[in-house]
Amino acid sequence: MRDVAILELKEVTKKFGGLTAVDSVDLKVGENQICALIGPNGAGKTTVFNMITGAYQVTSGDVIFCGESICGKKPHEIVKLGIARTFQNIRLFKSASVLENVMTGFHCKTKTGMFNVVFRPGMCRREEAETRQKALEILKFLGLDNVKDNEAGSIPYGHQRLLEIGRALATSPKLLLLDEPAAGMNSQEKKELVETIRKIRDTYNLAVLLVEHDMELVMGISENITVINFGRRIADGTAEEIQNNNDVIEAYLGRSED
Amino acid sequence: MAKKTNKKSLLAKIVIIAAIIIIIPFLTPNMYIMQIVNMIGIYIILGIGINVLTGFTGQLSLGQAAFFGIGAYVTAIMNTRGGMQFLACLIGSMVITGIVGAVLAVPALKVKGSYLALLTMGFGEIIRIVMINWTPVTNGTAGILEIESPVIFGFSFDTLTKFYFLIMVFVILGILYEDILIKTRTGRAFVAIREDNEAAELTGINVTTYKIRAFVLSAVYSGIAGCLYAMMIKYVSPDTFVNNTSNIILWTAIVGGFGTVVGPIFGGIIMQVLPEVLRFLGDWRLVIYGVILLIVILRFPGGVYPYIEKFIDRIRRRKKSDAAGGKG
Repeated sequence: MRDVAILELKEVTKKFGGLTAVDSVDLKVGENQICALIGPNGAGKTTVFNMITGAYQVTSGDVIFCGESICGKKPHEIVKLGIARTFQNIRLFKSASVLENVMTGFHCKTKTGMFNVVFRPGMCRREEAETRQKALEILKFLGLDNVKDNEAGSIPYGHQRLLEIGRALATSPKLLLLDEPAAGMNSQEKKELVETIRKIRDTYNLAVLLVEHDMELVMGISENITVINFGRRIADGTAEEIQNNNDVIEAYLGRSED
Repeated sequence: MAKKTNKKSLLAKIVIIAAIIIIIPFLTPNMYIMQIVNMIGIYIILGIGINVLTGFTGQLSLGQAAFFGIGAYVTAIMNTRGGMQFLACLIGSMVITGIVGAVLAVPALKVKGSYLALLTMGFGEIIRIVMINWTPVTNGTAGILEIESPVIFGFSFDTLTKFYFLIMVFVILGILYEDILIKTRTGRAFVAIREDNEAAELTGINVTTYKIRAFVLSAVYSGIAGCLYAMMIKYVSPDTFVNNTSNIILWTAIVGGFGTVVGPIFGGIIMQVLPEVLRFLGDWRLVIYGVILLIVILRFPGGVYPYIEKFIDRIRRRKKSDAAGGKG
């Protein structure tokens, strides 16, 4: 059952007034697959992400996650169903500590409320200790455990990117959306990132969909690549197929005039 | 760290705090000063209340006096007209301010930043005008007189000194509750909303309901303060719950320690003691008061508490390093 899609976009369209940002795009992410969504600047990749996470409503079409339509659901509900994301420009809770950032990610998996801190203190303490323990495990996994008490905004850029992934992992996602995870990284860090993404997929048993401009990284890691340009899907396939696709070459390099 | 030393230091803390609380009334020379001390207590409750909403959740409120006033009026009305005792009035004040907090949250959810500040300020004005004009209920500008002292299980808190201990109970409970809550999932959700609204939502936090919770919680704190105020002063009138009071509440949190649990203790002391100490300046009093506050926030951005904490930390570390022979 390798072909079972965990996420499926069916002719998804997004219009902002008269502008069609995304035009009937199809996309499939299989279980445990690492997929990529690529395209030139302004092609509509981030808009697609925003529709998957519920930040934008789709104009037409359908987004299906685990066999269920998630159109019209609120972003926090979609997170609870199992889709987590990171951001192109890092958006951590900067003045909270590294550990607290990850612990915040456990929000939808925990229950402590405003009243049972008084009426069920034992349960709350247990849940708190458990959350801390699990958060520390994630930090250890990402190699961030030595900076756990630092302010999130004060750690190095590459670490902040990892921390965002950590916060996303805390929501125990079935699908992880990475928005340009390699932006601002040097080639050594990129190599490590590829390893980390694979390791995350295998350890946490999830699917990954990434938007990325670094072609070497995308080609090296993705099992399936979807290319969009001007809001339309122009190609879909393995790295090799994409590299030899004329439309893709044209979109990136322009049409030859001879 | 070993659990034993933790428990020991906790016990030491409790003893020190209890000693300070018990000693204060013996050090106050007269009832005038006792009343100021009690007002500090009430403003501490107001300060920790606004800190939930503004300090932790990042929703600027310039209308806290409205919740304070509603709490005071509910108690005044329940006591003088309904003949109800302290605990019933307290619960009444908490429930009504909580509901009003939730109602205010609905329009407040749609705006942020300076617009939210204006909206809450407008809300404060509306409540003040209602207090003045809804004469059959609020007795208009004349206010409500002859509120009784609180009686709990036959014990009457009829002097300011007795009242002081009642206020301290609520200050301690208020601080303890916030301290516990802020370290749980709810507190982390508040902070996440303050830091990045959208990222909070995409981390699985229902931003809408948590903002409402912050509004309700801060309103309830103000309602408790209002109830205590009404029963201490025995008189409520719209003059008390003006815009200036909202500002002082906000300043109590800012000067003491924005987004800290115990900061408002220091804010309350500074905001209440300073104008009294400066009385010798006559007409210049409020000018100098304002200047000093400005200097405080410029010198201690984020409030004085974080600096006090750092200072204590440094001393403690020095002691420890002395004891451990220079390690750490």
